[in-house]
Amino acid sequence: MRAAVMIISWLLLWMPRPAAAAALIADISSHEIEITSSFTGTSLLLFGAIDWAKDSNGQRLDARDHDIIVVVRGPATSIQVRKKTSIGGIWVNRHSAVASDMPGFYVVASTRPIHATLLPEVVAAYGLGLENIEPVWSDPPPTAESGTFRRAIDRGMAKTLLFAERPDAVTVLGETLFRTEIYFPATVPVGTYSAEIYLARNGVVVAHQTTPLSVTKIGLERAIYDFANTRPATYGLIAVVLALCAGLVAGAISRRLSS
Amino acid sequence: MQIYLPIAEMSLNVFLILGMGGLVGFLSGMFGVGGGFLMTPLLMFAGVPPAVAVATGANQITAASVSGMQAHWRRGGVDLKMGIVLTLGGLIGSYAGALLFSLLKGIGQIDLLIAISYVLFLTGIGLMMLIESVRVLWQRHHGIKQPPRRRPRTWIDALPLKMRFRKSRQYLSVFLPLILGAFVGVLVAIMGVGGGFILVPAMIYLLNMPANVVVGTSLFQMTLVTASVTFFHALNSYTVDVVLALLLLIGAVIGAQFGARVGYKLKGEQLRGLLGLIVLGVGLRMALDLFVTPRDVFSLIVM
Repeated sequence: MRAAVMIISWLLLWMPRPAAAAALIADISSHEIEITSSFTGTSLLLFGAIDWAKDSNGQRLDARDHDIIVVVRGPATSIQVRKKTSIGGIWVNRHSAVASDMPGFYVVASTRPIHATLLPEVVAAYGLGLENIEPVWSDPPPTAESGTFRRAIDRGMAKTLLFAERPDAVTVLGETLFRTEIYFPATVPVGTYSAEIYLARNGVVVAHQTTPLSVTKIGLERAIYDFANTRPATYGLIAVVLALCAGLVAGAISRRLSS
Repeated sequence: MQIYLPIAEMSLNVFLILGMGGLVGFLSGMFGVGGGFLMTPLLMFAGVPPAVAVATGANQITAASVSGMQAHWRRGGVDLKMGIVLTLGGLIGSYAGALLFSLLKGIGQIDLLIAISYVLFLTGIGLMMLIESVRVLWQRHHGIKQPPRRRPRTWIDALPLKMRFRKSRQYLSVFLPLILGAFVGVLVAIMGVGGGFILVPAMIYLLNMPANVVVGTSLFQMTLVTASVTFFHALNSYTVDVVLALLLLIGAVIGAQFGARVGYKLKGEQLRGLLGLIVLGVGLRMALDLFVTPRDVFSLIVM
């Protein structure tokens, strides 16, 4: 990985410079996460370089106070939130709500807290940070409680590492290179992801780049999943026959062993 | 050693899965209960999504039951005729239960109903079995002889369509096991468990069946009912994880063989007392969840 960063920075030295603003070049160590039977979660390295704007003498123009913000967003999903209430001393799920069009994975990593970097309206316009994910309630919570239901989603998803805000996770090496590691837990949803990288300065985004990423099941895991979803009747029958056979075979083996 | 489960979409330790399967299989072979009342909560506790836990649990119980049933079959411990009648009732009951489930879901409060029926049935039945077996053991210890019990003649004997169940030493109306099976089936559909923990005491106390055919016959009924439940879950909700089920059942079939052997060494009352204790324990554990203030009142289901 370090080699890749070196190569990129080396290339940057020899590439023709764009005239005005700073630009970004970024990439991920892999654009595809493959889920196999041994998958227990994985980390990807996201790295890049800032292509500084320079004047005709090769002097850097605006060198101060640049920040990098990285957003990795997973495929849209629906999340059901249930709230327990005490009814006559018994705690039971009373109210529930369903938020549609929520990302199944959302990680924001940056050099500094987003609000220290960007103007509030810029943060909102780019939809950065958990607070700017607007849930579409397909089954709305009680009106007075939409805020607490919304926060419960962030809390619950953060507990399983599917949502994260890491305001110090992007490190800048020297003045040009930056890197961050994005962790994907074993429960990561499959689908198409995007990684957005923003270069911020004076409260606004001066450059950004989006790069795709996908999480797929492969091999046997893929085959079983597809089979269960496309031929459910056959799958169900096989599951039952498998269970019956395994039970009978194991019984026979253990009888043989004990006699 | 971790393994990724394709339908549950998460990874779990292989030995943890084998251990859970083994524990539940042991109980299943010993007592003739499917262990669903234990398996489903165990899986959920390990982080498996509830829908996958229920459906995969049913699939695993099929394997454990058929393995245990086979061991009992060899010792002549299965009343085939009684088992078939109970299964027929169970299938009718689980269909009716599924309808009732969606009806109650429409009214709301289904969660409260499930939670309360779990606690009531588990603690009630557990307590009943425990008291009964302690009473019998006490009497034997003090040399009090009980006359061989015969079910007193009641309106039950007036029901039509009598049938002889030779192995169970019963001559009774076919409606009795049919209704019992159906009642258990309703509970299976609503509570998502195999129902053995209700069927076994019902066969002992209600039908007065001899203890040595109760377990085998219950396992027979369980095999067929959980097989159909697995199939319908696979068909309707795609929630049967065969990888998880296979690992669970490897543990379970081994456990069931040991369980069946230990079960044959114990006396009927001891078995009932032990099962009663376990059922009561799970019931009280669930009651605790109902009464103790939860740490976070919110929970999520990612769909």
